[in-house]
Amino acid sequence: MTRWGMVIDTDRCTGCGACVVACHSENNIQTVGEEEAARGRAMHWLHIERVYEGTFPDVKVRFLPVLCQHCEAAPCEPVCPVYATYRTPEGLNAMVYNRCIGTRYCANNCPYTVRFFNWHEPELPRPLERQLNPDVSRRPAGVMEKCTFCVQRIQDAQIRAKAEERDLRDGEVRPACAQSCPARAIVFGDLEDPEARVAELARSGRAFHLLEDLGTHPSVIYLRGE
Amino acid sequence: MSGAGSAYEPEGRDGTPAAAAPPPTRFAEEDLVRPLAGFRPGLLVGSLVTGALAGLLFYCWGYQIRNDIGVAGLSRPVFWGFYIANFVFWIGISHAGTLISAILRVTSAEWRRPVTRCAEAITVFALSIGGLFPLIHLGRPALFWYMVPIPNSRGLWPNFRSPLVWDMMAITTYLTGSILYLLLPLVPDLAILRDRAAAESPGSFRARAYRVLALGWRGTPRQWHSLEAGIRTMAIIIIPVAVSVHTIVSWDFSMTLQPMWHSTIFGPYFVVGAIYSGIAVLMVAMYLLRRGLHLEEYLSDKVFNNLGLLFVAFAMIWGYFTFAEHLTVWYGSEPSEMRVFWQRVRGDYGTVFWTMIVVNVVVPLGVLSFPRGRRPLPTALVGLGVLLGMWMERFLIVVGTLRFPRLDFTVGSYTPSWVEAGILLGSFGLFALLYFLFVQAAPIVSIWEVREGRQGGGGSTPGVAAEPRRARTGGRVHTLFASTEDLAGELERLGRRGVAPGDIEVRSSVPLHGVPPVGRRVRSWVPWMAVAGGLAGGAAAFLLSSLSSLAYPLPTGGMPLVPLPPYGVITFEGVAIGAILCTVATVLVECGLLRPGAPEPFDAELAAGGVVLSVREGPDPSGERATPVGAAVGA
Repeated sequence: MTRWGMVIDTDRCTGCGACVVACHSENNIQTVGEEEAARGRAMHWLHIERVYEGTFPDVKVRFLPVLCQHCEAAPCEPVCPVYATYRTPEGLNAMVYNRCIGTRYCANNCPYTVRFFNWHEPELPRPLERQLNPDVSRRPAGVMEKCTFCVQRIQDAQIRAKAEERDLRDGEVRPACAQSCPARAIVFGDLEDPEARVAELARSGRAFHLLEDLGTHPSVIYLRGE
Repeated sequence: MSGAGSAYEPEGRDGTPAAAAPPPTRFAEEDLVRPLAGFRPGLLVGSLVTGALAGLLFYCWGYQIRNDIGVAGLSRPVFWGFYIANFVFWIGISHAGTLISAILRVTSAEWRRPVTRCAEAITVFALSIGGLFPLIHLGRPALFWYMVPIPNSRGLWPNFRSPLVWDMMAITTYLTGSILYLLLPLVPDLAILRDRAAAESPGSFRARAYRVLALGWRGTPRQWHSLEAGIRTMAIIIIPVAVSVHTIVSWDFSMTLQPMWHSTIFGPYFVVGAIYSGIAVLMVAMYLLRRGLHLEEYLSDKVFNNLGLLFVAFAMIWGYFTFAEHLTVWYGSEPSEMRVFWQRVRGDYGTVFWTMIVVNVVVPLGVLSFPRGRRPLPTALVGLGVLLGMWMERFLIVVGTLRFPRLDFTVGSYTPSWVEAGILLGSFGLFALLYFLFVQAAPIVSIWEVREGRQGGGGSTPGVAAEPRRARTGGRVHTLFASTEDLAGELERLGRRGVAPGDIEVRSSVPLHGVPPVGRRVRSWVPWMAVAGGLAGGAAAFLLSSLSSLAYPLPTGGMPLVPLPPYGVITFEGVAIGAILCTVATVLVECGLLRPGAPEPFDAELAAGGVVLSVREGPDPSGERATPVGAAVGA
């Protein structure tokens, strides 16, 4: 059985934001414009938060890329009245856009606040419509969306492997954020495969979860900085 | 149809005197039916003004549907705002009626009689408006039916683990229940109106409409017995349903992990707040009805005084819950909760919070603790304040928490847009419009219940001549009595004469107590059918939720596919709706309703409070024509 997971090494993260841009272009995430962003409607499935350690003048800034944690016991799932979000057998917290009716309950019950809502119909200034990723559907107004662990890439790799009649290799699936990270802070793979790099890192003594005490059992594991 | 006049045509057979031309019937409850008589300027103006406000709601909603939900002032992380606050507020107000009237009925509080109808109407309308808000709130309102378990080919099915599905089921149950609970006691009143209209303006639209709406109510002891059993049973069922509705509304919040939402006290806290705001609306509505329709005799100072006392009690209970909730949070001082706590108590929303405390606790206790404060005007003003305060409470709960999510990188802000403000304002207009229209369609104070309370179910009727009168139609002899004593005497005489009980029918506009039963003792199956319906409904709801989850195995939140506690909520609503529908169906069958009948003699006098005894004429055992009731009438 597969359980997709991600390890993010905060010691490696430089806060450059390449992952954020890659995520936007891979997943056809709408850019809402200055005015809407100022109202708190910006949509970054993955965003980089700053954590300050110590007191002035001895301050250290750390970067924390925050994205959907794909929790095993996800609080967002049971509250949805229409099964628009549920847990797949491969451990993804799936989001079914077609089912979503826009109650926004899931977003309210997400302790990580990583769900984003399409307040308006997405608009693309020309010629940006030409860079849309054909593998990812666009979301209409009134629908919730969030990080999918680049499920289109997972499926692509699985289909390829099946066609070549072999198993998936570790590291074969790389979400856009992991692919574009210059510091290689993001590692993606199957947590159930003990050989996988992601599973190895997850066993590290530096590993921790965000809001661990809530018992949501996230599939995103962070590595503490030294 | 021929109208009521024909019923009075003299028969003259057997030398029995025909019924004299009916003297003008004095109607003791004239004040209660006057608003129904035509277009009073006040009501017309009121309907137009409130109608315009209601139009504002639909304009704003239409604008939002056209331009997407983004026209509301919502953002991340404040995903819920005015609409949800309004939803909780209106659902809360709906507890005015049914719950208060049910509690007063179950405890046989005599002063309930003039209050129940106007309270129950508040429930129906407030609930309808409250139920509108989740739809207004949806990102894709046209797809709301995805929440309803309708078998379809698209692989869509509701998730019964979601509190929103519980909400939908609870509100549907409560709306169905409260509409039926409003209509059941309305039937005898509609029959009174039908009989009056048939005598006064036969063939008019009003007369025809009431004929259909009265469902063929005759007012026989059998019908009264069944109806009273039905009302009693409904009152008992509706109390736990009302409690469940606002508990489930509170669970929308407390089922989450959010700071200051995830609280076990929310269920009872919300229920108390709901009843509190319900009484507040009731006081304001009663004050306006009393002033506008001159119902001082019915909505008397005593009623305001008693409701004022109830209000004091709820001000204290609500204050206690609020204190307990905030004390617990402050004492535990968990950081994520304290961020919400401090901004509520002394941050941005401090003004709102302390205003709420003043209008919800300080003012009500300060004013209503004194008998002088419990007169109609001050009570209504205090009620207005409590309405404001209770709306603020809902706003603070919804937005206050959402602005400060647990992962403290984001701090939200919320400024409602004109669309949200317009919809809030319009919802009050829509409520007032529906209420105005209802006041013009049905007596806002229950005629028969007030009459029953006044007469104690017996004694003479002020509107009917003391001397019994008689008429004949269709092989029956009808006798009109003004007092139940005369009727009891006549029934006894008929019994001695060996008239078959099946040939005797008694009709009255109030339940007759203290009159010997005709024939076998009347029994009603209503309570037993309610139990059977409840069992069937509960089983159906449990099977629906659990079997469909097995057939549609989507895991959510690490829960088992059939999690028993959430499905217990679904089962409870199934029990309630089953019991409610079975109760009403049993009453309809037992009363033989839904068969509008033709006018009969003495209808107008019956409507005014008289009692009519009709006996079928037929060959008696001796082969001669039985002489019915003649002796008593003094032929």
